[in-house]
Amino acid sequence: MGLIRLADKDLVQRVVRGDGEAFNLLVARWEKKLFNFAFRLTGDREDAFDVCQDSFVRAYEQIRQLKDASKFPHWLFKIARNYCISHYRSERKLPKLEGPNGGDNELDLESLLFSHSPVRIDNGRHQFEPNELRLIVERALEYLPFEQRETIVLKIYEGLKFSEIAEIAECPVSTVKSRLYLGLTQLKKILTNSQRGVP
Amino acid sequence: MNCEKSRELFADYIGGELSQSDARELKDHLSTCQACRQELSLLSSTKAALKVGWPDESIPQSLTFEFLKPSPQRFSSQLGWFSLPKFAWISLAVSACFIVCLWSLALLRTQIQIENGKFKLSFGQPVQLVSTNTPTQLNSLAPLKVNNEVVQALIAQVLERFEQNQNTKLQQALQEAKAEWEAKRNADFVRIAKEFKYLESTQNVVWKEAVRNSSVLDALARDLYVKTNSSVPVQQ
Repeated sequence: MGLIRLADKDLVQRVVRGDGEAFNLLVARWEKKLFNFAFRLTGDREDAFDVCQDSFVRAYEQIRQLKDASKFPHWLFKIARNYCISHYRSERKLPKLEGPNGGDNELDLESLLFSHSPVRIDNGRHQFEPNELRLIVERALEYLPFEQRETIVLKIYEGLKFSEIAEIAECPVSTVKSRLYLGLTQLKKILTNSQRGVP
Repeated sequence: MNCEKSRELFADYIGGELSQSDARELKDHLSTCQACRQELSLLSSTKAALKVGWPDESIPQSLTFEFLKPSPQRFSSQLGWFSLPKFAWISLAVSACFIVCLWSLALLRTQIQIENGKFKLSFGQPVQLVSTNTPTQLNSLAPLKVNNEVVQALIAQVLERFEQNQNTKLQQALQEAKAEWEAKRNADFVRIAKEFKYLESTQNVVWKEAVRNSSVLDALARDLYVKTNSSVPVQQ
């Protein structure tokens, strides 16, 4: 039976026994999700890549401490989240704003939000330029406190359950729900304001 | 359900974890509350805008930890000295120290003496053989002197005794082989003599038979001659 068919739990057990190939397979499975998670938290592609790499190295070093092998993904997200917090505290500045193609499209948020951007979120129908909506969403997320941003990323983008997010963020489930509601309300205001900018 | 209670359920609705009973109550409230309905609609649209606005990207460079891949060099190192358990390393270290100590003592021509229960250690002393004239005492041990010449003499004695034993054994083996060979030769002589006597006796029987046959033939010939001459009158 090939390694590729094994579940994460079985791969973790093989890694604990010293199988490096099993760990590389885990990396291949989760690197994209972890990178996007870190990218949405840090707002910088290079930092996200570093966080991703450091997280996997830390995971390999400490994988024997993982008591429940089936929780490897959440444990991995927690490691990455801690790296992102370290990055957030050390940088103390707004990350560079990048377009989808990695360009340095430095734009002022207010001018962007209240410009003639044709963003509409009414009834879930969007009329927007993809690059502009991307910039708006990135900037809007950056304006949120880290805890709310983290909760929105884990819930909206990664689709985790409230209980799983609570475990990663080390807080009660009710706090997670509250952070999601407050964060979405804040984002709604920002996006609605951008819509008002449409003449 | 009032508006405050309704908005507590918004997160569950957005997160897709709203229970059936709460969903029923929320639906009932939304059917009568325009503000909550609009608020929830905007939150749902915001969620959709977030997902559409920032889709997943591919990682710039795929991560592969080369140091985790097995290589022959790594495999051999795992099977080599570094894979020895801790007690094996300790044993090796102790053995090495012991060998170094012995080598140092030999280099310094160390002499170890035990006299009257006291341990004496000296270096570079002249070689002295054990004196046979030293009186032995019950309560003390004779001085034990160890040097290279004594060891060589002992080794020579051992070799000499070994050689003598080997020579003795070789001579015994040769004598046994010689005796065995002589016995076998004598047995062969006896057998040959017996066969010769048998052949000789056989020859005598054949000769006697031949003699008897010739005498019979002579008798027959004489009878035939007599019978032939009797039919013809004898001229007197």
